[in-house]
Amino acid sequence: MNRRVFLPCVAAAAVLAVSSPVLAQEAAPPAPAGAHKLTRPPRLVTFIEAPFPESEKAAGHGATVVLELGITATGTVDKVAVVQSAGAAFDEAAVGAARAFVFEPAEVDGKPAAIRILYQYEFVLKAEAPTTAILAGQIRDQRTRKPLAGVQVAVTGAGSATTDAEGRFRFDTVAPGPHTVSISGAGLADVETSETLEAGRQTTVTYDVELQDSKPAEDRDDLEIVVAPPAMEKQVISTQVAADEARRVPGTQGDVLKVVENLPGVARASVGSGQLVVWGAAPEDTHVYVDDVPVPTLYHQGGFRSVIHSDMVSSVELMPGGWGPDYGRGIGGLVKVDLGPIPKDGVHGSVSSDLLDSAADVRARFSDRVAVEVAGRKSYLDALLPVFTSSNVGQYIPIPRYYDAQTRVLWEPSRTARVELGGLISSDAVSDEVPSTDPTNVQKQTHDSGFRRVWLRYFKQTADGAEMVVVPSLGTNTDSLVDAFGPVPTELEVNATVASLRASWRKRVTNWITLTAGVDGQFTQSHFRRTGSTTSPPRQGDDYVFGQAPPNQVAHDDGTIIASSIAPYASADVAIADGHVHVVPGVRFDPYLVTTNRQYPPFGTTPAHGLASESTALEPRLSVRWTPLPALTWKVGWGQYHEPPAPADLSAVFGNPTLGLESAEHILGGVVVGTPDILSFEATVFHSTSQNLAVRSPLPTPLAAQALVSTGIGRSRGVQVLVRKQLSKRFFGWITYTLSQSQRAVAPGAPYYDYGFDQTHVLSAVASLDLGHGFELGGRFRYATGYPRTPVTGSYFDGKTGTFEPIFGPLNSIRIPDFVQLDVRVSKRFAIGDTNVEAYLDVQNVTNRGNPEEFVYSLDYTQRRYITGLPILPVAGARVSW
Amino acid sequence: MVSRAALVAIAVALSSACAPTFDDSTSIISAPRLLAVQSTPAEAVAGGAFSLSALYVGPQGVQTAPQLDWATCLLQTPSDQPGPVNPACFGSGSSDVVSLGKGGTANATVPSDACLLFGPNSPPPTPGQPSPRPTDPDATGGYYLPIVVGDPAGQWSVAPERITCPPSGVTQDVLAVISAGYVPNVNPAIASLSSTSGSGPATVVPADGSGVQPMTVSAGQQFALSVSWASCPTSPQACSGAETYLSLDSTTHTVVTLRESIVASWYATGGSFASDRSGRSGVDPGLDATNIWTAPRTSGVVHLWVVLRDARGGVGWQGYTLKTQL
Repeated sequence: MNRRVFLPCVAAAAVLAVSSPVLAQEAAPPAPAGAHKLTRPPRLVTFIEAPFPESEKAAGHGATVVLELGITATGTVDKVAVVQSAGAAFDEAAVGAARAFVFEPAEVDGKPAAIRILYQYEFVLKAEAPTTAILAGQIRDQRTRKPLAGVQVAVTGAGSATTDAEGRFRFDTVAPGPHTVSISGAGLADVETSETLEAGRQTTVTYDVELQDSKPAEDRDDLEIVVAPPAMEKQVISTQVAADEARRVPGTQGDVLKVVENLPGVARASVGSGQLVVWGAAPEDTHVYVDDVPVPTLYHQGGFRSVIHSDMVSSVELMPGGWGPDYGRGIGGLVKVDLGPIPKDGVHGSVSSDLLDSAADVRARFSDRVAVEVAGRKSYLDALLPVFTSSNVGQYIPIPRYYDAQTRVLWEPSRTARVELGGLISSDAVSDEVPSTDPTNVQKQTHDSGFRRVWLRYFKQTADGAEMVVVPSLGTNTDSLVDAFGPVPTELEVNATVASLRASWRKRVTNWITLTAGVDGQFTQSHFRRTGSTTSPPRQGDDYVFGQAPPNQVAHDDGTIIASSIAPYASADVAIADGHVHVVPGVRFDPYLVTTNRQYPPFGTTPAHGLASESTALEPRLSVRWTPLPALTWKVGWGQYHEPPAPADLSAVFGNPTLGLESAEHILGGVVVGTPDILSFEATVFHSTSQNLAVRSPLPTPLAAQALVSTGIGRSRGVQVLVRKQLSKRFFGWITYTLSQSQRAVAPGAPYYDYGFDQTHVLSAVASLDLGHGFELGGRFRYATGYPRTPVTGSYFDGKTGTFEPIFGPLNSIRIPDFVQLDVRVSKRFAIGDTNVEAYLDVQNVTNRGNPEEFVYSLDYTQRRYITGLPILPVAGARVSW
Repeated sequence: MVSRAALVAIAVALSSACAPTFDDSTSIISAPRLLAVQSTPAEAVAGGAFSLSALYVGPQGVQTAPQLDWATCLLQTPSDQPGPVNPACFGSGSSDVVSLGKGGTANATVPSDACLLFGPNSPPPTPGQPSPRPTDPDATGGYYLPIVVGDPAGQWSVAPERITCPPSGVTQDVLAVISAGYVPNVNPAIASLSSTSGSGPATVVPADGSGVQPMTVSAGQQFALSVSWASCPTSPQACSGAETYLSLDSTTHTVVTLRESIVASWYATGGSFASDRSGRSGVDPGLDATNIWTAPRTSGVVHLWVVLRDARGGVGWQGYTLKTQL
């Protein structure tokens, strides 16, 4: 109760009564005035607090009531009169309290006597001292970590509540001290746990409970509740999309992971490139993790499909920058793919098919402790097209050929532990040939790539609530580009063996601190083989036009690069101000050891001398989130990041074996208003700088083994906005807009130029509406500024080849025209027994707009036109699931 | 579920069938142009002399005594440039661009340090620094001295001169084999040009000023043209056809025997060609290159040139004159 009473001491009051001509006057003694003398004033011995009138609290201020008290010779109060009113409510309260006062009687002439005094009763409004605590939390399914709605949560002395759709509950007025928390509901046996609450503090808990029907009958009495650390907060800037929502985004043909292309901070990739350009960073600087397993790519070549079956995916999260210390070895963005749970019983699966490929997924649970999932996809366009078109169509058209497969075996030895053995495989092959009567103009290109991974994932939730995850993985990456332009070869092949280990421990050590610590190790042995010109394939910053013949210079190198690092990291989520503020400092210590087998280009029979270099990166990270209101969060983030150079860049012939770590610093801040299930608005300002980037040597004749140097710098800055309505009953959608600038310079002090992946404006609007009766209609609109390109300002004739060569203008000083496209998706869902069927028509570029994708020039470079992107492209498909 | 129309749509889409087309044939001569530069010898050693002559033509035929600016460019090509020469070679005022004079021909000398500047030998290092990176050879193992040519219309051309440089960074055995067996390139030469039409095959006689009457063809008629060159031995020997030569394999650093490709560039002042260029790769034993030429639909004189280029930078050409009549 917010109440405070100023009590003037009776002596002071008496003096006041004697001396104050205004507020006090000496009471008239029963004896004739002047005949007696006050020998002792009355002294208040029992004070009664007057309640602060409820009706006056809203006014927000106190009041003063001056009373005249008649005190008997025994010290009781027999008369109370208001001398100065503060309003009826205050007067009444003051009078009521004063009547109960007890005084030590006044003495007149040395004897107790009745007396009247003036008493000033002051009411002061102040904040109440905390007397209660808040308990808030979430109930989740221990197996799936999905929130449980409709669960009854009872707290002793505070009543009960029912969890909402997000599994959340809240008690705002709980008496401090120990309490028993009881949880019950459909599918749950009653379980209890205890919490000790502190007055004035909010305790936030997450309870992972086991559903009764997922257990054998004989075990159903042995239920337990596990107090988990708070759900891992999203990184300071990230966007997460659930699979159910992502698969319905137009333009993705039901591929969950393709939704990443539409998230804030992501530039629109050129058609057929499949590149992820995040905040203007190079595509290779953004890394992908599938349940803590690093994989080299998110998409198959061409970007038509992702490398993970959509039914395996629970959600995908994009962190464009400013992420925490648990991830490293990247200076761009981060994409995390979370694999979904396997159903609690039975055999489930899906089969889908469209013009490009077919895919299937089967999930089976053999017992409550063992489950298996197998999925795969295979393209067949290369086999179908020749049937309907010319048989050698594949020679002219780069038809993607790909397949992928995934499997998981889940074993749950206890209710708080899971072991998962998984495997991934992905393969791509694209080849095409441009025939010519001129043997020097025959073009052949083959690009094969793929990866394989096996991993073991161990999850354990300990009795004290800590969570531990250990994920060792092993695999290979392959990438082979073989290009022949007439007699001029270009070959770049990199095969790598990748071993990684990620281990993390996370625990809520107090109500307001959650600690995370772990180790992130990776060992990569890459064998590269490269033949051709140093400028082929071209690097960002090179003068180059699409389709240009590679320089007729041929070098060769092959070698083995080993890059290893094992990085301990730690962070603490410190919740202060009743959980309204979260400060998350973290640090990552990443020592790298990089070895190459050749320090200098091969020379005769001189033995190769290897090189080993050690670099240490200390990466502090910090994020702060302040949520002054439930629907308002301010956040800032800062961090330093490093990544080792690409293996082929360490070639002594084409690169530089002494290239150091590339580094970047991210600074960002933003605000989130609203809630995603209703409507949220998120704005983020970001600025990143990068150093030690590998660039071409600026020397006309580079030094030996220094074709590349680590002098490049970069900067990227901008603002991204996301307005989002998450999937609810009938509608979901979002609008993202990113305004950014990404620039590079070959060295500090050198002029900046627009980076080749810079897109000033990127706007993406996605919406999907459930029309009822199983019909759903969605649309996607995209607008993006074109990529910068270097103009051709002239040409010269090469008498040796009889062809023209371009003369270039300023680097990246013109842009491909803007991209505008509207995609529409219509689907119909229906059920046949336990089988669900979805048929869809995904029409890309419904306006058939010819979006320029790249500049092309005439043979003599006097004319410039555009390669335009995909015309209107209807893709029909169906998905059957059970 | 998969319809033929949809498949065709996919095919069209994937083919980026949306690539533009240009009317950019380089075969038809509508303005004065440099078509080729021949250096003699086709391959010179460091310090050796060579002569240059240009095929500079216009709609009226070969331009005699063209005022071409010849220069040797001693600038190395920056590592971020995809072209065969440093773009600064086309500027004026650089001391590294050494003028060779004006005219339809020029004489030059390969700098004595050409194999350092443009060859496999590393230039002298700056004290305290590693040696500069040597130049990479082309696919035939060759190195080239940049020669730039400016024509009166302001168009620049390059005519690299192949230079003989002993390989660097190889074993003595490899060096010995190369030194003993390598035969410098010889310019290719046209043995004959024949045409085939509805009236049968015929040999087109060069317009060499000997007074031979030009061949008469019907306006709009299509001809199969075939240009041939000499048959060369399968062992390295000087020859005006597709020569066999020794080269250093950049991957294995061993000596390999290769055969030149030969490409014919076709030019005419009228009509149209099916292809601008045609030829034979190094593994193709054929001794000719063919093309289809459609005579203009108007009567008049047509000048036709065929330029042969071999893989090692050798150039040879021949001009022909035809008459079309309605």
